[in-house]
Amino acid sequence: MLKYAVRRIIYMIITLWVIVTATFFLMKLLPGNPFANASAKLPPEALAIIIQQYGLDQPEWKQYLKYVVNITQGDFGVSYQYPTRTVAEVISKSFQASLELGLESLFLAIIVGLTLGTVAALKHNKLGDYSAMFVALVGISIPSFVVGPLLSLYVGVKAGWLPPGLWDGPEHRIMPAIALSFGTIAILARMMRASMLEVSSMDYIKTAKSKGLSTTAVVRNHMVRNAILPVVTILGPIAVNVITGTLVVERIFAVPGLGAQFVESIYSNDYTMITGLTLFYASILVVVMFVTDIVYGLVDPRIRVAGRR
Amino acid sequence: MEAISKEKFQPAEKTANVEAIVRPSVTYWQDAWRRLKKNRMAMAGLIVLIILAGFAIFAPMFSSHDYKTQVLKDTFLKPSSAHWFGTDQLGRDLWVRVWWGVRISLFIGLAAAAIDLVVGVLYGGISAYFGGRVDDIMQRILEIIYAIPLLLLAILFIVFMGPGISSIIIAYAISGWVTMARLVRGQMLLLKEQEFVLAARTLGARPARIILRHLVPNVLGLIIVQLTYVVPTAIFFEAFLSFVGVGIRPPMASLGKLISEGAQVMRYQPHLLLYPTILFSLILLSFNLLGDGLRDALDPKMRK
Repeated sequence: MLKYAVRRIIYMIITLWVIVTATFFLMKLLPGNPFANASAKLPPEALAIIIQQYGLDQPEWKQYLKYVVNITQGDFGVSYQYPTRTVAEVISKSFQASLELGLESLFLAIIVGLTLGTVAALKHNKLGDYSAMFVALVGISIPSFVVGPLLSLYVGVKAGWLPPGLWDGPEHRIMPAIALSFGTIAILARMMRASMLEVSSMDYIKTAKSKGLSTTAVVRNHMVRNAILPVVTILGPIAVNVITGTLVVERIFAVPGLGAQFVESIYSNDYTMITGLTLFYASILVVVMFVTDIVYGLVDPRIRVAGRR
Repeated sequence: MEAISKEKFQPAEKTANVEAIVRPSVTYWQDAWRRLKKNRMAMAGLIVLIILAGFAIFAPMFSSHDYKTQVLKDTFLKPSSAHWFGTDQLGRDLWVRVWWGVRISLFIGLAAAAIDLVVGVLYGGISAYFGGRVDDIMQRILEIIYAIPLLLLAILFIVFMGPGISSIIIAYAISGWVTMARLVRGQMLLLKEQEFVLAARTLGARPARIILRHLVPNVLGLIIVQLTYVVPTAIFFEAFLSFVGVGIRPPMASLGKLISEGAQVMRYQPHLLLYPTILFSLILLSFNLLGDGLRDALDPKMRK
């Protein structure tokens, strides 16, 4: 297990390094320079001082080293859009809303998704199965950037049941969380169904039934418990789903989070912000995937062995 | 007791071909097609896709409007006989723009599938066939690429490359093929130990020939199923990028772009959001239904 964890950590570091390096060179390829607007008004001496201050006169490998060191210390540079704010500040300020939204939608998705999957498996090839799986399929086919606007339009604007946007009270949380959890519900439901069906043909289920346990006890204590294990393995894809989802959902519902900030900086060509946020998101994802791998290695040793050929 | 009639003791008539197979033999593909035909949802998906593709090809041709002409006196028209889906904020005909969007989405999906097919299958095949150290190194590279969040880096990449169809396809190509490579490798590892590969090798077939002529045909079912999932993923990829603002360059319309534009004015002009949304969801739904059906049809063992 320790060997496995060490190997995974090395991979994680290599992956992060590849990502940081890729962003550095993409930054270098960028047309223009950070001072393009100001430099027209500046005397060349002042410009030279600024360039020196930012270390842009150094050879490229030195800049690269400095960049890597800065990144590891959480310094992503200064935003173009708001020259007085650093990217790290913006991240720490808007991360809270995103995290909250992400966790709420995850919570919702886990409850609804697992329930749907369980119902579908118990009613295998009956109406309950078909309707649950149809819901799941629709969830996969209709991405959050479609669900979001439709919800906002019909529930928020036309019906007026919930506020169509913004981030004030608890009632502002409901629709973004639903929109964001849509795809995740679908993934979870399908996975849970397959897993439940597999478990239901196991011998220990027969044993449990023949012992005379009630259906509820069999389902709750034997089937669901064992079926949930493999579902942990898709936590990685789910994290990707939720995080990329926040990009669009936050924009649609005007949630002041990282995602909205990200899209905003794409529209205003705020390059440092784009790179900084991409790096931040990418690191979260890489870490989440690492944690998932370790967790399910711990929970179920069979998965780890199977994963290693 | 009744007399037994004489004709009961006639020698049996000799039938010339008792051993002939009565039913026509069914190949793997015919069998799969038969199973697919029985799956109503999958067939519905297939038919919808064919219809959509037909409209995407012909609808813009037979319309008197085109996707980029702005008619500023006709902005935000509701659907009518002149403009079947209405017009957008610049007076462009939505019917034509939507079908252009379907065209672009399908094109990106198919291009991604083609890249997946070539790169993924070759990478997986080579990795599995040679095994040992080659496999080890190739798998380590794969693991690193797999861990890179594609959608996010693609945004970065396109910001620098400039938006456009080719940027999107290239961005997808960077790591879209990884799943395919993994699947193909896993399947080929099992296959390559079988006798027909040994026979081919004994006869002096080169690795390229063995991989392409002997191994690939045997995993074709798996590859096709995977491709039907790649297409919607790529279409989603484009729509997502267009939605966050780095996708297609205007005035070109893609479904993601149309949805994004429609979402901004949905409060007063819901038709601009509604039509692209319906078509987009229909495409994704159809591909998913078809993919599920194909998986059941091509791999009966996997059937649940």
